Amino acid sequence: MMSNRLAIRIALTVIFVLSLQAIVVAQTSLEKVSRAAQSRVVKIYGAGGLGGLEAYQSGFLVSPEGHIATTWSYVLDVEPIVVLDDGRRFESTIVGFEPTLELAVLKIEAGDVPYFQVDADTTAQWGDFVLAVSNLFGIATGNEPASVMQGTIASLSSLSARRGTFKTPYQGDILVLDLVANNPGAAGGAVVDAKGQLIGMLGKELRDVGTGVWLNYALPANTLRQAIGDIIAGRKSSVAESAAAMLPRDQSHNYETLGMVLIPDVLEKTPAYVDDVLAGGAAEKAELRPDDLLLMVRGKRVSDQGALRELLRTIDRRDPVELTIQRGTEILPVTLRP
Amino acid sequence: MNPLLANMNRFEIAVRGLLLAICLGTASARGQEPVSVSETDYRILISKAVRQAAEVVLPSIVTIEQVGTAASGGGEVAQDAPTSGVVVSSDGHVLTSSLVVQNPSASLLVTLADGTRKAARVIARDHHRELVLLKIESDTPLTPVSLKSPSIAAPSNARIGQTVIGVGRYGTESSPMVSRGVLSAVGRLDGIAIQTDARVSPSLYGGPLIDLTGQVLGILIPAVAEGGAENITDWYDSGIAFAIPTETIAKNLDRLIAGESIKAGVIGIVARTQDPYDDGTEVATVRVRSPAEEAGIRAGDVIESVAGHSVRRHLDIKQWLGSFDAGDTVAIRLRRGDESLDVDVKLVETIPPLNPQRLGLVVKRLSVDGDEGSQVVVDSIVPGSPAESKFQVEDELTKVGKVDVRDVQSLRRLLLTAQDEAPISVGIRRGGKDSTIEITPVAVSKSEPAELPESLENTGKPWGIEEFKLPDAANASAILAPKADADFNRLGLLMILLNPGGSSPEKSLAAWVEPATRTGVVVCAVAPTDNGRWKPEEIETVSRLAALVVKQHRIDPAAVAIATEGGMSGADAGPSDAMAIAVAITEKRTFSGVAVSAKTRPPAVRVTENDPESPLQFLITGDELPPWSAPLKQAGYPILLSKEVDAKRMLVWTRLLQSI
Repeated sequence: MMSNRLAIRIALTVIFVLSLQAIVVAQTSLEKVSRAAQSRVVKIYGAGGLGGLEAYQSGFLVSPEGHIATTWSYVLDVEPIVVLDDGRRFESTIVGFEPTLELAVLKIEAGDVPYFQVDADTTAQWGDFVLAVSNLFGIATGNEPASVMQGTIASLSSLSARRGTFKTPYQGDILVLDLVANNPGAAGGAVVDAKGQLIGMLGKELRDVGTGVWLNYALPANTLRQAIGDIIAGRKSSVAESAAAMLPRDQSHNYETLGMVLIPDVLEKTPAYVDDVLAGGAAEKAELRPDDLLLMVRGKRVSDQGALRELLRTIDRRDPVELTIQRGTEILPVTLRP
Repeated sequence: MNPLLANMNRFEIAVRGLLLAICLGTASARGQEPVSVSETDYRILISKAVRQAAEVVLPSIVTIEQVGTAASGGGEVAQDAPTSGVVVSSDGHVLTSSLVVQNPSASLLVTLADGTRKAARVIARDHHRELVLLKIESDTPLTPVSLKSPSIAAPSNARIGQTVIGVGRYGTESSPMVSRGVLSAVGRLDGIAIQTDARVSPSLYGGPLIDLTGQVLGILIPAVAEGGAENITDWYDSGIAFAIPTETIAKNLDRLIAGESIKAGVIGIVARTQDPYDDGTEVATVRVRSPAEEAGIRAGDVIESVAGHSVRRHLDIKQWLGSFDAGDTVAIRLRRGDESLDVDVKLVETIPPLNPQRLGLVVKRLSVDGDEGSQVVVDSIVPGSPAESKFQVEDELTKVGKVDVRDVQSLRRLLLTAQDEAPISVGIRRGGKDSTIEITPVAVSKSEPAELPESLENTGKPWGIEEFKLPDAANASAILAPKADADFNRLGLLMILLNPGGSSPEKSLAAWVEPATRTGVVVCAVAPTDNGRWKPEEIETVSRLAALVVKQHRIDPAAVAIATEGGMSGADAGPSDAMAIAVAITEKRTFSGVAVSAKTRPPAVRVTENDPESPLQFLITGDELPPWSAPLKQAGYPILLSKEVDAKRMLVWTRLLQSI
């Protein structure tokens, strides 16, 4: 008697072989796929370099005109330098952010560059083979191309992660990777499938909320598509503007004019957490609460309290202040009216 | 053979050949048309095969979450990390890893493949293999995995390098999760586990490890190799992961379902060799009221095979016994003199803890033409000990009970494992005449030696202090020792751990010069690298430093102790006291004694049973025994309590650690 198990095994093997035989001798090879992906990945150099924060990350081209998708991070606190796969260096401008996805789009003045099509439909499944292309650990210097790593998609899940002790704002779909991919400098790198199609962007280093261990993951391409398109088309409000003029202290906004107290600014980069809301002030009227984190002021990123004070200096104290805040895991728009 | 099966096997061989050909790119296999496939398509096919295999078991894979966990313990992995489990019976038995019961929790929630949530209760644990059996109530029958896979745990059947897949569920939606790798090894963790290089994250613990056909090869567990890391989860995602093979699970499942917990089996033999890696399988002694004693194994027996596997070293014995549980019977073949004996030993969970005994003799081996001979003679007699009125210096010890005395080590192990204060007969040869001495030893825990035998005292010039460092360690350290060419034997060594931010090692040693020279104990003081605390990685540094001193001076390896200034009356307990305990327990092969203050805050180290092959005793200074000493006593460590301990007393104790 043949056991069921053996039967299943043979059946599976037969399926496997039949599907193999149906294949015409294929033209694509992994080498070509890797090379094509590498040529679309860029290295981004910007702010950082202090206190264990790397001053570089990865990105990839998404338009022939030189639009680059990357991770929104402190590296972009200055207008970053972009180095293409062929070694050409460009100064870039920041076109816009999507804070909920921690996505940023840069633009370089280059024409006719190779780029990834960011598709709305990707067929990525758990178990699929992937290549991750990034400048992890900044290994690729000068005109060296980015590093290619192989692995598989371990799981399709939604993100539940933290940075330090704070939950991340993005809680949507991710590709969990069976590949140690999310290392310093890898954020913003491209994840492609065996045919070279873009299926995701490597995220920042994060820890899983449940298990506490480091996550290896990517944001799926179909999630990024809409946001990238909106930023390029100028439909996003969070556009980086040229530096506005500073106003005299007695004419600009500050914490008092807005009726809020922030946590003591004792670190080099103290996050802009609300510590208290003053009775009757603009903050109270707008229902701002203690522990709210200020992410943006009028579409500009608030990297720390120093940056926040500078931004407020550019706004006339008679004008309303549009804020984007994070409360728990929610991202909310708030307008403070004096 | 069934012709159909034979055909199938041939067919399978052909298919395997074809798969091999695919891997190589182009080739023909067994007369088939040449098949060529690009690397890309090969990857896509493998991905499909992985999914197909995982789909076979996914209906049986559940997520397990702990609710309301009393978090304790360290490690990077969260104490209440969600993890996977496998349904093993249609009426709701779920097997998972011990991760879910590491800490007590208010509830264990099992999420089934269809998303239904059920509260589970713990039925039984396999403590030996980090497995737990849970039970959930279900109105509809569940889909269990098949545990009928052919054995791969035996090296002859193992296909090392074959593709394997760890399968589990992850995240809020219990999405399928896979990690592909190869079978790395079998017979790991003393024979209980198979090993894979698949990246096994905490979410996959408790899930199955399967092959490309979906057969369950084992259940993934959190584990590290002996001495590998502090926490069992520390090797997550490392490429070194372990699974309990399916055949073991199938064998034990009924016992677990019946609510019977399983523990590792203990035998109770003590090796004669210094190190388990040394050649030789002679038994130095057997533990009192142990399975070995029950089965009639005796000191002097040489073990030839364990469960049919021939053995050459005590390490082999440990490894072959490693896969047996308490209650299992193991066939052991041994040689006694010229005869060969077969005994069946029924292993137990625990044996009574060690209660080391002492006669009060310092012994030595007589040298014959420069080599150590097999004659063991009395070198000195400890004042006030049972031996004092019965033995004389230069007596040759020939027998203890029925066992011939041939070396100091076996003799020591015999006394360490002797019955508490039960008379023993010692055969001696004095002036060419044989006689027998009846003597009752005293428990080590009741016999702190106050004085050195006169013959061990040293009246020579005071020893000097110099810097003494490991080339690769930053710790400041100094040594108080005789000149290297000085004619001393069987010296003691006392390692003194200094408190962070205290005085320099050289300064601390100044007070020790006179008593150390007198008592013949080399003293080595070590300071931590950090000004605030001792770091865990310095445990090994201290041990290596001690080993180097033992090598360079004529120190008896059985007379090495570690202490702190807090171990002396009048001094306060500091961070170094906790460190001294951590070092002594972790590095038992180097240290035989540890002296600390009763006010020590105990370190977080796992206490293992006191082992006659690397014994350790405690000298605690204070008015009464601290609460943390109770578990140590239960684990068989002799604990001496002393109200008054000064430098000299601590040094005498150190030197006489070598006495038997």
